[in-house]
Amino acid sequence: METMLLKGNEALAEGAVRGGCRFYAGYPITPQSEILEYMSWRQNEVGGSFIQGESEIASVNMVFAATALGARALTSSSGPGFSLKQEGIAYWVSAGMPAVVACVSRYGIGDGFIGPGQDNYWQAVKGGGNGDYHLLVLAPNSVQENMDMAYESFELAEKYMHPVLILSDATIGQMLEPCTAPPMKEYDKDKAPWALKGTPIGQKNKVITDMTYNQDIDEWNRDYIRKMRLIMETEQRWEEISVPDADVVFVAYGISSRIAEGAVRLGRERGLKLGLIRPITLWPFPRKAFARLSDSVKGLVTVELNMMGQMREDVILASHWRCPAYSVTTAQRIPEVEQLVCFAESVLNGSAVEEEVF
Amino acid sequence: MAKSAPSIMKCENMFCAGCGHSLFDRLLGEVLTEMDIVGESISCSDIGCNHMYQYSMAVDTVVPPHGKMGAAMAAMKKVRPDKYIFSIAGDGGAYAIGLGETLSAATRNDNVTFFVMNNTVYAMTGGQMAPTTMPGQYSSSSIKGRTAEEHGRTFDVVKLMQNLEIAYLARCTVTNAAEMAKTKRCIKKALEKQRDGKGFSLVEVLVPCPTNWGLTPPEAMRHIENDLVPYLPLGEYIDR
Repeated sequence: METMLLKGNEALAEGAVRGGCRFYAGYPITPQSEILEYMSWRQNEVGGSFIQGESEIASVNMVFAATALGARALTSSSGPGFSLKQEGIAYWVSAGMPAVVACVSRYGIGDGFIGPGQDNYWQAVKGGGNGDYHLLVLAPNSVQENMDMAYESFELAEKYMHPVLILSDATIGQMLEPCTAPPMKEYDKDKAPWALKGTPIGQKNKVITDMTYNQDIDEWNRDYIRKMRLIMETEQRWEEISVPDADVVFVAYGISSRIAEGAVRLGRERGLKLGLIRPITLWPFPRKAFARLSDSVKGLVTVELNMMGQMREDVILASHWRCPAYSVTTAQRIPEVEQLVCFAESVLNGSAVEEEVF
Repeated sequence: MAKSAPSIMKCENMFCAGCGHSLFDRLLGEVLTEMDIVGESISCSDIGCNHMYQYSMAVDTVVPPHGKMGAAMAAMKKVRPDKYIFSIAGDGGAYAIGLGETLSAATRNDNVTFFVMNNTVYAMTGGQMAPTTMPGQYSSSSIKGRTAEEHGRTFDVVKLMQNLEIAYLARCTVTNAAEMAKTKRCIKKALEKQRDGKGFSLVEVLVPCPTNWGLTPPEAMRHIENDLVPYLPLGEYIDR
């Protein structure tokens, strides 16, 4: 184990490399360009390949093809660039390719801004492209987790032959924190069971394609939905802070969860029983965490860098309306700890209002 | 063309009667077999009529989204530089939706090979106008005939690529035995350029589409000779 001081984006890139990533393709976009820049020299050092694609669309399809030939391959983007990749990612899902994409979220609709945002939650966890799918979505909240999640992402994707999305954000991507780097994993692309390597005459050739062509579609559907249910059952991950006796429980991921954690501490100092559920997987959403909640909880409060409280819907589904669900939405601004404590107080004294925005 | 189909062709093809794709696939299958590189080849399919080669030709294949072969092949060659990487593409995929990716692969001089079947229409979706649709040609989205004024000029890959620093650029057709023999030589040459590390090669093949042209197979062949070839001359344009 070695300790490094890295930006979140660099940690994500290094974690991927140590996890066996030997192909990267991407296109510059703020605030994720450090991943691309880091990979441009780092892949050379480890004998991998780097292509600066002519667009996000080209890059996502480069990763599809590299994965099809057996490489552990990564692409990354943000905002509108991540939108451009959605068609390609849907093909990964359809073909069952264990590729990995990182989105360093920025705020805004369309071009938007370059600062942090959590307003592409729906796009990230509800599919994003056409067809019935969710990606396996990991939500790091520190530089260390950027590294660790990138490190494990390929094995997780290969376990289910399903793509993984690392949903980071501009704050985590740009901030410097010390982190501990795990050892380099050995990975042999020739041993990947799906890998195309060329098939001599007389042997059965392989085709990596859209689901509908080479297999009975009903059979494919059955296997696919079984896989999705297995992921939902097996991979829910979350962290709990002071939840068992909490009257108000924040629900937050990514950079918002760091602020919410501070609010729990400050609230407890003031005698308020606050807690935090931090989803680590956004899909599958950690429903199990909500099934165990005490009946004494007076309110669940999502903290989100968006306007519509997108994750609140998933909290309502997970908690079955057992208690009121609120959102503190701060759009392009990172919330203040004090603001969250005040909101929790308003939940406790009955003045907070559940607001629907759709 | 050889007397019997090469063993890489595993079954009857699925193309319409008189379609030119099947003739090209057969010629490519013969070249791959004769060069003994079937096991060293990984193909990249477009999406469209052309992609049906994967049912009758036993070669490892990746099928990226429509038109994205230029990007996909760049990655394939990086991951497995010792393999022959080629695409059987359509004119809509390579020259319209995928033109950016095709041209980027060419300007980088990626060491990969494009075989582009140009039948001047979007065939699989029912014969709509493509960038390659000829002046005056009727299609299901140019029902009074294409005009430069209304629809823009017709695409010509030779005009686009002839000044690029690529290894090989040729246009050929499959209208008779002599032309098929020339096409086979172009296929082989393109793959040899890749073997020798010379870079990007593209062979455009003018192929008939009797179904969407509303012609009989013999009429479709004559249409290529009389109406396409004068406008899109055959030959080798880059060979370095």
